[in-house]
Amino acid sequence: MAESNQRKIANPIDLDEDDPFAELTRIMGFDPRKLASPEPKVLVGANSAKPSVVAPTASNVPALETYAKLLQATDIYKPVAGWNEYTGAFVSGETAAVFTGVWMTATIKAANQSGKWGVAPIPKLANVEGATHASNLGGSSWYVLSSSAEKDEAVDFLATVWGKDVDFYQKILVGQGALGTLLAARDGPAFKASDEYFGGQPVWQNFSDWLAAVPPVNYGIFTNEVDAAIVAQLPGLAKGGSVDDAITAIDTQVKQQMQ
Amino acid sequence: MAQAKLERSEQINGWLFVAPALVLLGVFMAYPILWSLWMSFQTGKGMNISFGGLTNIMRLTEDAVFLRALRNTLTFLVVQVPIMLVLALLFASALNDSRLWGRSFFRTAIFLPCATSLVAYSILFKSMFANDGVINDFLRFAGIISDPIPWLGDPFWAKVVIIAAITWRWTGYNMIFYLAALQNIDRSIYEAARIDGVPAWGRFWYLTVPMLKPVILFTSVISTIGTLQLFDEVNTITLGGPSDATLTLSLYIYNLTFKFMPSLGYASTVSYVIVVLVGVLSFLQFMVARDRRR
Repeated sequence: MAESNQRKIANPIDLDEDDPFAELTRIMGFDPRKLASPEPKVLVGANSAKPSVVAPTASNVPALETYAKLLQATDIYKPVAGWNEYTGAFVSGETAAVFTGVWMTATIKAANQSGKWGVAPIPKLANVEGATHASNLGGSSWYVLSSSAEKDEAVDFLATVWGKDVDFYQKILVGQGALGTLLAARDGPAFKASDEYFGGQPVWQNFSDWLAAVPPVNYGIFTNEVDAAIVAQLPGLAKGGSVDDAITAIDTQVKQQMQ
Repeated sequence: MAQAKLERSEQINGWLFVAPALVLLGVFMAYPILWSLWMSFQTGKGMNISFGGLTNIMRLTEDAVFLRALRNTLTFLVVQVPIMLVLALLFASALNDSRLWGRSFFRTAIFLPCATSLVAYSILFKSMFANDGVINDFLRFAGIISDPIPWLGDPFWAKVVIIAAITWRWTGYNMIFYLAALQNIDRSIYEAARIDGVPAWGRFWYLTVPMLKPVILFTSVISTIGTLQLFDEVNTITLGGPSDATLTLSLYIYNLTFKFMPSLGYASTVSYVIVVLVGVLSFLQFMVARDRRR
């Protein structure tokens, strides 16, 4: 993950302000031009002896409350288990919408429902400072091993092709359906094209506009641990459990897993 | 003199013959076992580890996820193994009856699940028990339920699905051991019992079961070991969910090693928990099943 090597990354002064590689990683949630990220932020919980890693904040409490409310509104969603049931639910028309990332485009287009689909930005939490209609999920990283004999060449390749080559991004979008995250690629023809399947919407342009609005978040290196801890609390929240108790339980589990 | 020389050369040849196997066993079995024992005392993430003494064992007692995985694994063990062994025993004695029509067909049919791949059958179970799967469709068609059962979304039903899956997969396997053992029981014992007026259940309970005791012990030990190591089914069907309700010790070891930031030392400690459990439970089963006659 990109996050894990953040602290090892070069001196921030080494990079130009318009460094394309830095721009690329900024989109992925980390800006190497900013000072190397501090140690994971430790929030101090009110009632615990050890400092908390996950404490109630102005953003996570409303997020969990909203999630619990959604889970309790069993009429508005269809519970699914596994990928086939998941894609089947919206491709068959049984559910009207799906919240997901750009990569679902190919699955939706395979359903032969041209003109019946549209792409919209995600809703945001009201009254939460910094909430946006854009979010990112997943992602992957490129690594260059510092011990590699071809280190400079590899860095050069990543910087010139993945970091600069706008045409390359048009080619992989058309040929492979891969939507790159380089913001400059938006100006290319493939990104500007509109799609009849989505009622003539310029879907790629939309996605890359939203991409630019994604606030950079440092997830830290324990993403999967925290993820598992939150998932473990969801059934309790769905049954109407208290959000504060859930956050305390998440905190206990994450602290346990981090050692 | 010549005799001693011959003996010596036989000794050397003997060791040379077993040497390749011994080397392979040493490199791929003894060494990893000892290394994992050493690892279980290390703390830290990835390559950044240090000797922690008993820290990992202390961590076990405070780790709610581990305790949940342990409880789930023991639940599977306590519920599934007896059901499976009783079923296997009943199937075996039914299919041992030479008057039964089509018994080779039934023998094959019950044994066949063992020939399927663990992942393949798990995927089938996953789709059968989906919300729109054939099981829910059938139950609704038969009028037994009105709303679909969230088989994989509910902590209780998810456990039921896992138990059903492993029972389907392994009952035939255990049945084969019982069938083989039943062939060795002298028919004249049953004839004598029949002449003495012992009813069918009595012949089963007082003749078949005691005479199968060593085999029952064997199957219960291997089933215990198998259930404690349960991984493929839960990883394919539920991924340990919902909310860790089907998380097993093996899946937790996998998560600690490959999903989370790798805690190789702590994961080794959890695997030694399985080793200790297997040892203790096997010992207990031998104690319970041992002959009381002196």
